[in-house]
Amino acid sequence: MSSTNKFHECLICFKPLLNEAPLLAQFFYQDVICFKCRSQLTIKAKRIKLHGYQVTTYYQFNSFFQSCFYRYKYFYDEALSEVFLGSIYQRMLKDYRDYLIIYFPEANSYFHKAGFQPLSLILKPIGLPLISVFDLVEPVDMGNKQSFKLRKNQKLVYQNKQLLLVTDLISERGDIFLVADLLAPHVKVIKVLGLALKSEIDLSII
Amino acid sequence: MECPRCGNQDQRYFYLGSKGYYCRKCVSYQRFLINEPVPYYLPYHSENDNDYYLTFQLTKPQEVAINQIATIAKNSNLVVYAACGAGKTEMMFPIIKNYLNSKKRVGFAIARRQVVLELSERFNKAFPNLKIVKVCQGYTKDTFGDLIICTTHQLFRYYQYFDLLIIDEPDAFPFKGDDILHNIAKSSCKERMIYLTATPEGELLKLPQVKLFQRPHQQPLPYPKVVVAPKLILLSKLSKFLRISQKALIFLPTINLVKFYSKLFGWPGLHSQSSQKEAIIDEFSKQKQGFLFCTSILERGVTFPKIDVCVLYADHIVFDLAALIQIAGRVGRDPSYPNGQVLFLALKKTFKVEQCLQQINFMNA
Repeated sequence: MSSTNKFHECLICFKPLLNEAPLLAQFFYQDVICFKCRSQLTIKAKRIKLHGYQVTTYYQFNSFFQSCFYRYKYFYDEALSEVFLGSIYQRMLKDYRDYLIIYFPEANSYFHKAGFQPLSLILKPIGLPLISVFDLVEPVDMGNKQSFKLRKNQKLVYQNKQLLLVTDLISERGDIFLVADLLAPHVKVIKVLGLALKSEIDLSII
Repeated sequence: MECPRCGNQDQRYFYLGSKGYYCRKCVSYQRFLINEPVPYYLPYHSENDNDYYLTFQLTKPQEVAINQIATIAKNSNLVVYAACGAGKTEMMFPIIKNYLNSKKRVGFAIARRQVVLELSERFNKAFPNLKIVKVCQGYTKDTFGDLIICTTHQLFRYYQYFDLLIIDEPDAFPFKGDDILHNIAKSSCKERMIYLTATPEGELLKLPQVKLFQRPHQQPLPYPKVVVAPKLILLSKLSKFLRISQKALIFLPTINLVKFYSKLFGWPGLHSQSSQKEAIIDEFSKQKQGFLFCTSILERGVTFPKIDVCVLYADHIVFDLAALIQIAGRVGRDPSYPNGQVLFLALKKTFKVEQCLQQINFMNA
């Protein structure tokens, strides 16, 4: 795939990468989006316990994140896949070096239309083992365990391993936890990672 | 490479994705592949009666204009340049009927969501046997029908779909000045485009025009009274206006000012962030007396009987020529109250206000 960044323009707003960058930053700034957009895509790492699993999220679920992610996932703007890993690449590499990454896939109908799996595309450059071990049974009934079917032939791949389940948005009743429950009996450790924590979760009760 | 939808030729905006090249300039209207084939649409077919029903008689000048529209539309796109309240929408009914009778697809697009909702009501009454579909934010589940009324933002759903596309008020934000939206509109239409406006400009001036400045009740457009004064005096003038008028819209340039003044005077306020916009408008429509403080959200497309308007800070950058003409055009539409008041309160006299007065004079001449 080609990157539009060869033009040294922001992948989000198409302005020069040093847009609104302070003087000092201009010497070492290296990114695929401009300084202004990056500063709006706020990193606010959180580590919480939810449904018995350790959950980590990186981005603040603000309107800028929402509009970028919406454009990427629902308007199929694949070029933006490079945007989300930017600031969290080093942290992920450090924290999950020994983990097998399992991403939450989109349904087949989405894949046929979009041509890509949004999370897989985001996580690919990290270089850690990355697979999906289950399929969504259509029509997908979110919140129902029957909607997720583990691929039997992949059991050996994840058995007794440390797993990192990755999804885009973490919500209190996220389906990622149903999948975690399905995998839990077969593995050593399961941790959950979301790009952002949906604001509806009241952290005080966790 | 050229984007068939938005016309972009700038190579920086093309990206090779999993399904081929797509244009990132218009991607916020959903990805459009460069080699995407024109979707196959079933031929328009409806057993419904395409006849329209009016509760009033069209005037002679309107009938003349309708004939001109039909003649010009045979060969070319056109602009209907008409005063606010001259009946532009109703003048489109015959050509819509003709297109539908010929099994062709018709769309009616306008920049503002609020206007789509109101227009779809009017179309529903006029064409009671057709399936009129409104497509705008909050109404996107059912997007196909006999006649589609939509915001210009929703035209991306109809690539090469319409045989006749009527763009109402192309001078309205956010359609105005947005090249992507303009090109998406053009690419959604296969055959004929008709623009309806009270303030044609730019490219539209090159198209053949059908003019109509007379309102159906033959009364001239109300001429705005302009007061230029410091803030305190403007406020006292506004207070006086609220004492004299029975029912009025008070236009303010920003949401914060709407919130402030509606609280200060104890009347409801309406702006793009208001919840229950439709309920507020409904309530105001039903009232015989009352005031509504609003932003330019209500500058066009809405009709309230027996109404006056006041624009506070008419010199603000938000109120351009088209906006001021449209706001003034809210008044005097009701034949039983053709001479309502239009009051512009400004901190300084601006060229736009001057132009607006000239334009109304020109239409009344």
